[in-house]
This record gives sequence, structure tokens and C-alpha cells, in this order.
Amino acid sequence: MNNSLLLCLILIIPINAYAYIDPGSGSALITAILGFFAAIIYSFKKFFYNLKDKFKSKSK
Amino acid sequence: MKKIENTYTLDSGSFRDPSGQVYIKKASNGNPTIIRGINTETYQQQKELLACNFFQELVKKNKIVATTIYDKNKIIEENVNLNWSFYLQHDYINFISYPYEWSFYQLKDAALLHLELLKTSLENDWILKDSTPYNVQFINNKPIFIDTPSFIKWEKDEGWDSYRQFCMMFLYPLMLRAYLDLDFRLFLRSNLDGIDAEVLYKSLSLRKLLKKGVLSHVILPYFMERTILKKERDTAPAKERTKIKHSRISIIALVDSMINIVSKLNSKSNISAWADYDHINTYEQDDNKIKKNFINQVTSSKSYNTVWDFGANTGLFSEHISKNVGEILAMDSDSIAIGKMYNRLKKQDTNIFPLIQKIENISPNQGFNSNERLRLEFRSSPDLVMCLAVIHHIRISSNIPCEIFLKYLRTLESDIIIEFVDRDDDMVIKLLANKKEQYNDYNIKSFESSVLKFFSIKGRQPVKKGLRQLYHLSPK
Repeated sequence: MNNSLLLCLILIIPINAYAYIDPGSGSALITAILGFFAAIIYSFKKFFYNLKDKFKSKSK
Repeated sequence: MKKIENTYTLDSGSFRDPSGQVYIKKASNGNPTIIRGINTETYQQQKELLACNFFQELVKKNKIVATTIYDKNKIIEENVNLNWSFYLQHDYINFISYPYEWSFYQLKDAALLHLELLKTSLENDWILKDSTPYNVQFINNKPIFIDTPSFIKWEKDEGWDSYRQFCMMFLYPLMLRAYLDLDFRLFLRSNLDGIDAEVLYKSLSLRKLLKKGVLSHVILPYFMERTILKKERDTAPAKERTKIKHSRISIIALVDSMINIVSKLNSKSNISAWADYDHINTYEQDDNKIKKNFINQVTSSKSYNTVWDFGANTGLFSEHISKNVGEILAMDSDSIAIGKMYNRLKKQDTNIFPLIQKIENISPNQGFNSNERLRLEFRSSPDLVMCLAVIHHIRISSNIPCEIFLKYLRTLESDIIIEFVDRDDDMVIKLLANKKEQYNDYNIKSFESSVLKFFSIKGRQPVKKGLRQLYHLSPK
């Protein structure tokens, strides 16, 4: 009886331990990191395209 | 004057969002519509959203389902027992399909629509709170967004909360096909929440870890999730992460880079058992003509609203009868063939919708209480089912006796066009070539006697010099 109770506890404990964790809560941090780098590239691209457009319109 | 009666049926899959629930309103005198009960907070935001130019522009382009505020007094007049604070009315969509029934290109188009809507929303101070392909449906093979309460006002410093859901439901399934040539539907059908970063990380070889988007959207999230699981297990308190501030430009830039990644994902797999079948099948031109004439004759003799074409391959015969009927679900288990059909049909104006279905294992009822995602037969009621050259696969490849299969077809309460492929046909000879079991019950005599238990034979036509027989059946 004691052994089966112990076995039940071993089986249950790890499940409970993970059941309270939301691994998705890390996505706020991930999107902040990825968003930071993406914003640099995005701004650079925009700046580059605007510059290209200016040169194009001047040469016309 | 006859009194108009309206019935409201609750959509069994719309309970997860606390902001409202969806009902299908069927009026005795007209077409069905969708009524959505919503709470006060959602109503205020939806009212504001409906007045936005960007939103109405997207509705005009058929990218978002047409939506209006539904007069609450009508619900009271109709004497319906609903207690929501407010209501919305949406256009009705004839057939609801699920991502595990889509080909790679259908899921990719749905993902790109989602990202386009998200980016446009952010540029106008709105955001999408969910990222699920179940919010996207197809009309005329073009994706359309159906869940307007997903649009919420973007608050300053708020991030893309449903980023992880987007990865699990859209990005990882697409990467699975594009980078590993694996069928994502097997995962999406068994896990309705999508694919974990862990599955992808552990499946990718070292070389493939350098593929576009993998480092940022697979490896980083995988290690982040693993660290959280390690640190916060047992009684360790959860760390507060919702206070991280995001700028709008950083979210738009992230969505923009995601558009860049998704639009470059492609299915490399073009080789399949069936995708080229309509070019290389064993039919002679004359036999094909006979077959086309027969299905044309049947479908022009009676008005059929909904046709199911099982084993449709790339849709050759569906296209042949499309002008005679209301709508066609062209189904095949081959995802490459369905992908080819979709890519061809999306450029046209058509009533054919390609869908991946294995006739021996059609999408079941599943999800919470086995009621969240419905079996195919609950979402569509055919009045004609075509089974052209599939019966030999049913009997010999899948071990389903013809009588049991015909009994299933009878439950659909529809007319049937079925092609029996006899034992001397090349394709049956090939199927039996390496089998110990020779399926002696598979012959035309026994097939016809099973047919007559459930159906009346309305017409028949021999093809391939009698090696095949076409039947038009109606339920007894």
C-alpha cells in the first residue's frame, strides 16, 4: 500500500510541478528582443528606400 | 401571413473567448446568418472598429467577413432566450474547414492574411489578440478573417501577446513542411493548440538550424521556455514578465520580418502518388470522355446543391461538373494533389473547395467534450457523393469491405456516383500483385448485391471495355 502510494506521488509530483508553469510567459521577453533587432533593420530599410527614392526623383 | 420562425444554434466551438459566443441563425424564410452575442466592453470596441476606415477597406476587399451591429430589440422580438448585452451580425460562410484539412499553401495564405491584418491594425492603433488559423476561412479559395472581436485597441507599451500562438499554429507547421518535408496536419489534428518549438528544434539537423527564421523563432523560444520550466518548477514563484514595454515600431518590424519569412517558405515536395495522376492514369481519351459524359448527365438531370468528390485528386472531374451544381468539396488524402488544385483554383472564380480528407479516416469530432471541432458530416450535408475509382483502394489497400463502405455512404442520405474497378483492371492487378490475401469477395456480383441492400440503381455505364462500371445510385 505504502509503495503504491509512493509510486502515485512520484507520478503526480512532476506533473503538478509543470502544470503551474506558463512557458509562454517568456514570449513577452522574446518579442522584446526580436522586436528590438527587427526595428533596427526595419528603420534602416525605410531610411535606405527613402534615400533611394530621393535620388531617383532628383535624377528625373 | 405565415409567421417567420428563427432558430438560433450555438456554435459548439466558440466558448473559449470570454468576450462572446457565436450562434447560427436560421430563418424559415431566408438564408442563415451568424449572430454573435458580446459583452459591453467588446461592444464598445467593436462599434469603434466598425467605424474605422482601415477595417471597412479590408471588408470591401473580402479580407474580413462583413459585420454589422445587430439590433438587440430584434432578439427580444424574436423571443429567443439569449442574454448577451449586445449582438453582432456576420455574413454566413457555407462551409467551415479546419487547418488540419488544408494543404501547405492554404495554411500559408491564411498565415499571410493574418499577418497583413495584424500589421494594418497596428498602423491604426489596433492589434489582434489571437493568432489562430481557426479564425480564417476560405471563400472562393481566398482566405477571409471571421473573428472580429479578435481586434482590440492597442494600448501603449503593449506587445504581440499572441506571438507564441502564431508560431505554434502557423509558423512551425509551415516550417515542418518547408524544411523537413513532413506533413503538419498529423500534428495539428492531434494537438489543436499547435506544434511546440521543442518538436521543431529536436527534428531539425544542425545544418537546418541555420535556415531562415529558425534561430530567432525556434531556437530562442525553445531555450527560453526550457529555462522558465527549469527555474519555475516546484514551488518557485513565477516571474512577472508582463511589464516589459514594447514600442509600436518594434512590433510592426517583428510582424514585417515574419511576413518576410512566411512568404519565402515553400513546399519542396512535389512528388506524390497522385498529384500527376490525371496526366498519367491508365484511361484512354475515349474512356475519359465516357466518364465525363456520365457525370455530366447525372448532374444536369437534377439540381444538386452540395457535392462531395472523394478521391478528387487534382480536381479534373469536379471541374467538369462545377457548372451544373451549387458547390463542390473536392477531397483527397494526398496533400500535394490538393495543394496543386488549390494553387490552380485560387486564380479562378470557382465553386470548388479543395480539402484534404482520407475517406477511411474522415475528420472526427474532437477538442473539449469532443464537440469543439466537428466531424465533416456535421459541417456539410451532400446531396451527391462521387467516388470515382476509389472502391478498389477502400477494399484492397484499406481492408474495408465494400458492404461496410456502402453502408457508410447510405448514412449520408445522398445520391451517389460510384465507379467499380473490376479484378481484371490493370490497377487492381497491381494492387493485388504482392498480397497474400486476394480479396475474393471483391467482384462485381458481390458489389452489386451489396449496393442493392442500400440503394436503387438509377443508371449505369461500362467504361474501359467493361473493366469498370459507373453507377448512379439513389438511397432506398
